[in-house]
Amino acid sequence: MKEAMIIAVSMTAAFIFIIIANIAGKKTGRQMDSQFDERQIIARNKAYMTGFFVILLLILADVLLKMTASAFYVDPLGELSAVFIGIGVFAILAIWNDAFLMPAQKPGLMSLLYGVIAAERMLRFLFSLRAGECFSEGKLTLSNINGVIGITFFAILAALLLKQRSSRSED
Amino acid sequence: MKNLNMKAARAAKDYSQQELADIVGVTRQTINAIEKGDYNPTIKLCLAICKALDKTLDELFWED
Repeated sequence: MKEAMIIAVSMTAAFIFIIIANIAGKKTGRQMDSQFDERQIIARNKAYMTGFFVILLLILADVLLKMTASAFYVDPLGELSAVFIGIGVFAILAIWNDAFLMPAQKPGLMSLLYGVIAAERMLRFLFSLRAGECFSEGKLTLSNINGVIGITFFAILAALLLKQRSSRSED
Repeated sequence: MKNLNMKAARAAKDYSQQELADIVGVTRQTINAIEKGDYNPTIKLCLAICKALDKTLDELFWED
């Protein structure tokens, strides 16, 4: 429960930071979106829509599982997994349409960052698994969220690397 | 439909896709998508490309 609180507080803090950065950007005329070109903005909007739809579907599945008392995980693993999978879908679609990174951003540095996050989360997940913290009373515990985040970030990293490779061959 | 007029005009100016992209402020992939006919640019971007390549809108974007 304590871990759930920490995750919820961190996510709320991240959202508040993004909102403040956006408002500050608007006031100084340096909006994040202005760095993306027009094709990228359209592609990102489509990716946002798909990611959001995936979150809705997964939340619906989570609600149905809970209603039928067949949920095989503790709260809020289902909701958090839905959010991270939705974010992953958005990121992969945006990467695939060359709309994830701004022109000035370096793909190599971003790949490294995602790789570090994915590896750190997967290690935490493996340690939890080894310590027997991933299952409790026949249900998946919140420790499994590290696995979900790790796999999501590995998928994003794989998409980034594949896109970089295909972009190089296009050049 | 591929935009061969734009590709030819870019080649005549000896610009790479990346160079043209930097001049008009978009990504190389966007220039590539326009040339391949995968993306229809806005009039604002069309004008920027025309200025960069010293061509008119008709010369680059009008299909006969």
